[in-house]
Amino acid sequence: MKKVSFFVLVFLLAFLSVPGISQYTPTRPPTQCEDACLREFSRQADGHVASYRSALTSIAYQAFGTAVTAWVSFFDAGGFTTTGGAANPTWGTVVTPLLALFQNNVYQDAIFQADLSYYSNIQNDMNGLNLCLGQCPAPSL
Amino acid sequence: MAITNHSQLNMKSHFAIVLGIFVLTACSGVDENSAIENQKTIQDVTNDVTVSELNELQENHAVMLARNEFNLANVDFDMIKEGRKNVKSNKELILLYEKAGMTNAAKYVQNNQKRIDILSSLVSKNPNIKNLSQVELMRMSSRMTNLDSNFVRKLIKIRSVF
Repeated sequence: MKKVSFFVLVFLLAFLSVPGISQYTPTRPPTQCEDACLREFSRQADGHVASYRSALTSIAYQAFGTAVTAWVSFFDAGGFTTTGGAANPTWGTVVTPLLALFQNNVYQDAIFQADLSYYSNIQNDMNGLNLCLGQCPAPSL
Repeated sequence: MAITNHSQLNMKSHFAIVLGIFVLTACSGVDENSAIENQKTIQDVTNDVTVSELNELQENHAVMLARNEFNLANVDFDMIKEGRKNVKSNKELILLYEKAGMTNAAKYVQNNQKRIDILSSLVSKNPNIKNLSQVELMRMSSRMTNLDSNFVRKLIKIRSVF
């Protein structure tokens, strides 16, 4: 009997120590007013997350589309060769620097812009949620 | 005479129609093959194990942004815009972001670089991507992120006290 209690205790401790579970466990159901605030937040945030998703899709599209450009540049430069060098460019000498340049300059900036827009919109949504919740009457205990 | 001319015309028309059908069939055969091949490429890319890694990474990054872990509200964007022109490496980019007021700048750049690396590796592993049409590319790209309504529910959990 003692063994069983010990295992139950260990299990409970492990369960509660997992981050996210103890933190996010609801303490009480939202009131009608709070629920309305959350619904409005969801509606706003849904749109902004969808915009962020579109921006990330566009970045991936650019990445895949650039592969096409890089391949074209590569074949324009003479395609695969075994010798390399400036006169006989190989995959590594033509495409890799192109992609690297693209990655470090265009991608980082594109992601930064997308992140910035998403961050600013979500912060506004969160602030709106806080204001809305602040106007709700305190729940009766 | 008129009948002969008419029948000759009919024969020519028939020949043209048969030729047209042949050409169309031949072309559609080629298109069908490439369509199947393109479909396979899209499947290969979207089923790649790194895509779920990319999705997870993007979701975590979006949560970090929502939690204001990079302090973007207080970042000097003019400084970044001006300083960006002279940046040639991620190390320099981190220093610039830090100077402009970003917190966890190294983590921020590292997250983005990982996202970029995964996309690049997908391109390298699947050279047939170059044959995809714009519509196919867009369809495939839209599967590179899974941020949706479920993600908003997670955001509510982060904020929620209920």
